[in-house]
Amino acid sequence: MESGEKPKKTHKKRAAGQKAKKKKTKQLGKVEKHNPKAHTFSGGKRSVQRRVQYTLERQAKKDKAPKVDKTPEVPPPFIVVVQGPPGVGKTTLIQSLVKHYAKQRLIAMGGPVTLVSGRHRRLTIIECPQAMSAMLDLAKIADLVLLLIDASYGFELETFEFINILQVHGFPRVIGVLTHLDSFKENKQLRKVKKSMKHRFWAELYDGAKLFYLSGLQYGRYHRLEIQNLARFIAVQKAPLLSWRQSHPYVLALRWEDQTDPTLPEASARRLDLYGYVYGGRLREGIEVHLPGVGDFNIAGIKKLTDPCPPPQETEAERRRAQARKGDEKPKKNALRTLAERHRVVYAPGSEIGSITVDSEAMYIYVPDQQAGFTPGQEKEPSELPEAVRLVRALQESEGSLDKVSEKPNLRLVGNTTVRPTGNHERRPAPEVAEQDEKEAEGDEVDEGEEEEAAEEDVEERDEEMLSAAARRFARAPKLEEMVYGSGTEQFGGSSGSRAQPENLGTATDHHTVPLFEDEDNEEAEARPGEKSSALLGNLGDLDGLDSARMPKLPGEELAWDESRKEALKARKFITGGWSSAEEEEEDEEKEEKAPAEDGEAAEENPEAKEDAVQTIPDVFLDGFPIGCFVRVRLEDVPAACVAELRREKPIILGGLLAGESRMGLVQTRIKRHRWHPKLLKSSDALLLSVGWRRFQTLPVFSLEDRGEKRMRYLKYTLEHAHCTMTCYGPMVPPNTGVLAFRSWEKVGHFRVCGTGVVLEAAPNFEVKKKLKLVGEPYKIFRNTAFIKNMFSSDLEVNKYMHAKIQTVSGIRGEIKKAEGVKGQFRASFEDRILMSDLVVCKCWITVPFKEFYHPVLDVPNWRPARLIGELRAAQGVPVPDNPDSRYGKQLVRPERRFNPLKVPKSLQASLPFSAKQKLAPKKQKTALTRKAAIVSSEREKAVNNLIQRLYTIRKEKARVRQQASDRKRKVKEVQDRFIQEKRDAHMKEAKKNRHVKEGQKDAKRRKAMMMD
Amino acid sequence: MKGSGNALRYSGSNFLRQRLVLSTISGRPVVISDIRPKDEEPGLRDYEASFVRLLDKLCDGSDISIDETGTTLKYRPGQIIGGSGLVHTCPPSRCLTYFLEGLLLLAPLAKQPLTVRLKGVTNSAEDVSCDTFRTATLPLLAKFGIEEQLSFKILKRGAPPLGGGEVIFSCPIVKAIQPIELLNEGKVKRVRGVAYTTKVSPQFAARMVDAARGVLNDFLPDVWVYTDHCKGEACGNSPGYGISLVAETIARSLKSADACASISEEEEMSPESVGTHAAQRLLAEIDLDGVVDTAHQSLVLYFLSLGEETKPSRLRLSRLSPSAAQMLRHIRDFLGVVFQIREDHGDSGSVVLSCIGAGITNTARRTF
Repeated sequence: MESGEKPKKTHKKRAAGQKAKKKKTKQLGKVEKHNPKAHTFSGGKRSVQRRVQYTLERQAKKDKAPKVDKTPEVPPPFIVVVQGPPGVGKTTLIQSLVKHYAKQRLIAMGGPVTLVSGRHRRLTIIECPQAMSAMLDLAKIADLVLLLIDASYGFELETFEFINILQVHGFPRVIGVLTHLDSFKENKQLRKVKKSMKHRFWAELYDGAKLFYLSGLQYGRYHRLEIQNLARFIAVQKAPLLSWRQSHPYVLALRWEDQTDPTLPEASARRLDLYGYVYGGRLREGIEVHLPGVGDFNIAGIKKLTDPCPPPQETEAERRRAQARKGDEKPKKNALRTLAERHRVVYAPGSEIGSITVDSEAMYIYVPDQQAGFTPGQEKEPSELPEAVRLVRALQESEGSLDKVSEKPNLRLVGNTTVRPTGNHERRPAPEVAEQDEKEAEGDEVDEGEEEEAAEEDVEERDEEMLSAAARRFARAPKLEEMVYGSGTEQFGGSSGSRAQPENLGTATDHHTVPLFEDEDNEEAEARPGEKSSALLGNLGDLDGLDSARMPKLPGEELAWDESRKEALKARKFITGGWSSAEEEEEDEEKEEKAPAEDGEAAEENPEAKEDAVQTIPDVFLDGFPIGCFVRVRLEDVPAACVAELRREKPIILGGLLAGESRMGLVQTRIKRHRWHPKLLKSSDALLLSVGWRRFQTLPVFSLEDRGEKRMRYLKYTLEHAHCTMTCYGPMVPPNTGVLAFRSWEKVGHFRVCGTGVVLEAAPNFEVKKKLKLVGEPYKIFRNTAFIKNMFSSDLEVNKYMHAKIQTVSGIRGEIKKAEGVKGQFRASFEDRILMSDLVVCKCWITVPFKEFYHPVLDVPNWRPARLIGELRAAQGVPVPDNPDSRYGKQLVRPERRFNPLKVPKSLQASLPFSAKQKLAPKKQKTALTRKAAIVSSEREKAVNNLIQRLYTIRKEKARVRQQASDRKRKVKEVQDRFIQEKRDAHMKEAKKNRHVKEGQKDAKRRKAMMMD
Repeated sequence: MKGSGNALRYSGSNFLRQRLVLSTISGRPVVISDIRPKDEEPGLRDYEASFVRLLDKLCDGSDISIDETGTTLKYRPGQIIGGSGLVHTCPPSRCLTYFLEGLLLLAPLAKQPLTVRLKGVTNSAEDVSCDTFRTATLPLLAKFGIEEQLSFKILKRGAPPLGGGEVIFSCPIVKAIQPIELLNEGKVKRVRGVAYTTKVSPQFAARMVDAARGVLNDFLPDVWVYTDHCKGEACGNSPGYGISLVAETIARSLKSADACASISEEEEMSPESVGTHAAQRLLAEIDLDGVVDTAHQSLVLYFLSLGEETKPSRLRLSRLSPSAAQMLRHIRDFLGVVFQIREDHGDSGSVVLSCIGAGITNTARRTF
């Protein structure tokens, strides 16, 4: 038959049956559970209980400590960090974003770019340099990170390192952006790469993390629509609420200036001005701040400046107000709907954007020739010019400057304004600030007159004046702060640098300087008549007075209580006076209503009083600058070498420190070696840490909790795949702060992050113990007493260890009794006699001392980290020490011990009973001869053997009979026992049943009471 | 890391406790010079030295040095440890509340909850008495969220001059201090108090109570004063008697006053005059406006200044006592917090102080 004729039977897929079912479930991705009923509720009382417990547990798991969002209504710019390996397209992305938001070209990038992105939102976009220090610093302040990934190359280690840094220092939002997608020619390959990279990205962040694809370039920027989409995603990202950032004020310096006196030598300490927005918390003058890579400083002065990139709503509101003042237009009330061109402000000092460049000295405005209309050049006759140009020229050429002209009374620049001549305005002059008042008035005029853009310095000056004037005006009205704090309230206003330095604070703080309190009565009478108005009691002038909170005499205490005074007091302060019972009841009801809600806030029970207070107190606090302020922070004595290293491209961060965070001490951290780091970490091998704002090198000591938290045991190396504790010397930080460890941050082939963890506790001292075994040898033994040598080297040491427990290797326990001589020998007693060959061991725990090594990382080229032990060995040519005793794994092979034979004296031997006698003669071995020799028994022997044989037989028979009898008896007994047992079982069953019924009833009752059914 | 360049400098021995406490809490070193330089006994008094020693017991890692003349004290603060089992014998020159007031400011931010046993004088004329500390000072702390495990027990009473009293004080720890508003004073609804007698006739207590009630019942019927007569072991070494009164308003603010007789002095006060004196002092305290009384102003201001930054704290006070005013200045020096002080227009006698706290958190505590 030819096989070609008949077609082969095709394979038929199974449509039913076990195999088909399996395939189906596999396709759906469902895994069959082994025991699907294991975690369900099957009914019954246990089940109910379990369900209740389960739901409660789930609820409890959901409970989180409430986070308080401190960001004000107008938040500071949202910080967007653009990170990626070199050549991935970071600058291009920023340029595209700037073009999208501000419709301007970013020609050259240098430092952060702040721009308005929406009605409520401003962005600060900053590019992350490749240096690890910059990556660390930026991770600490980023609100959103754009992770750029070169799709044509794949993921690079930096990306993963940066993600890890972010995770430790508080996770901000992360958006991945794939670039260089145009290098894929084939669509299928592109799709594959996108998919695989997406999944890898998800594995690192979370499933569903957003990954953008930027397909290619157009006019040197990314495609408009793709950037628009990205911008939409940026717009909806929320700032993360991270405890460190919520509790520490910080500033990302958008601009910095070296304001040192230029006559000083270059190496002298610098005065540094940093400009930026306040984030995280209130920034107060005089607090300590940390400048990563530079050091700790006390803020010498802060000044609030006008916002260079004001939020659109504010500018709009101002514009509307101005229009309303002018009366040209009816002020619109509705909110800002869209961003107008004028709202799209960009503040990018250091970058070339549009036409303005700012460097540390000056600001340059690039005006294209075709727009330079009012600049006089080689031009035509003035008469040929248009009229407007002629007028402006005339103004340019006028001799008097504006303020001179403005002294003439009738100058008007803007309609509806009048210019007051200085000098004779009516204002209540405060004696100490009279001079400044005039200046302030001048400032006012200038304010009113001038509407044009002025140079930045001018703006600053003007603001300073305005602020100080405001502060003065503010301070004048109440007088009360002045009375308490002395007349120097302007110290805390907008003016900068006037707060006394700690060194000479003596004058500012001491109560000498407040003469108001010396003879308070006179002053009071002058300031405001009436006894009630005095804000202070008693005399404060006494330097060595009695330090007591209780006042020896209260005012009004010695006055007589006549009827009228009594009545007045009763009416004012007692419920019995003029307080009707109806009101009281009402009050009580109110209280009851409120009580369950907020019991602690008893003070707020009277809503009227609260409202009243709120009305009377405007929330203006003179100390510190709130979140969102644009400020200039001045730092003094900044090392010149560090300032010389500051670059525009490098992020400069000013991190505020809380009280006690610059104190040095030991910090205990729970740390885990990073699984991608190739090596274990070694105790007291230098480690670079990034904790809080700081980066420093320190010597860690690893340890593990032993015996249920009783003891911290020293570890030579970190555990391989588990957490252990690290203790190191450094500035104290609050618990729950993230810690990142590096061995070095040189660019290497492997993952640089070598450990991550969290701070557990900071304290001046910790105890980490390690085992110490002191070994000695006996040199004289008397029964249970032995004399031991070589364990200690002096009698002093022995005395220190008196009554310590010791032990031989074989396990005979003993105690150190007394020193013997001065060479460290001692007498010890044991529970049994020890041998001369025994080793005596004293097991103890000693505290591991911590090395106080703290080496802050400075961002200067000369800075070098302390070398690691391996590096030192390599440099010195020292081999790794190899002590055979310390080797693991290899079992020690000990020679078999040979003991001397026991010798029993002959006299003793003779007196012993046979059983206790030494069996000295050994059992005779059968020799070959004896084995071979035939045994020929004599007649008598035969007879004896025969007799013994018969006796055995008789005994056997007797035993058999006895066995039979006992078996019989046992059987009978068994029957009887079974009968009794059955009776007993039945009874027990009955009793059990009754008990269960009773329990069930009880349980039903309980369930009813708990309303579980 | 920082030298003493960061230190704050003061002169004079007054308000030593405030300076040391604020230095400890803010971590800034302090140098106090010119401590009684022209006195017959220059330098620290025994109670001040004892307070410094107590602070040293409470803290770890602090550095205290006093120069040869004894007139300059340098203090570099450490970490507040707390813990149980602390025992301190205080000199009889000051009342135990002198020490307790200082402890109270630090203990909530310690590493471990504090339990301390203090021995010395429990009631004296120049300080707030221990009874007032229990009935008026501790309830104030509840407003800041320091409530559970806060306890105070007078085991033995000790009157000056020999003392011999003993108290146990325990205080929990907190993560941070909540910002609060204390604006509503409210009217007085009841007066409670304790009259104690030790080593004198128990009749004295009844006489003091009678006298105090005689004054206060003109204003209010709800006056109840407990009597506490110490016997045997609980007596201390000297005879004495006194009374402590606390007025509670419907807004649950407390005002306290106390008085005690010192037997050894020449002009001995009769129990009646002690009672009357305390009652009148209480009336004077009530007469002054404010949510807290003069003795507790500085305490409340201190806790307000430590509060979290999330919202402003407000407090209505009467005129400031010297220690409160000095506390405000010290707070400005150490923490940089400046209170805004406004005269309250609704109630002419009082001022409203408000501030945004420094956001001090308990960095010493251990996490897991």
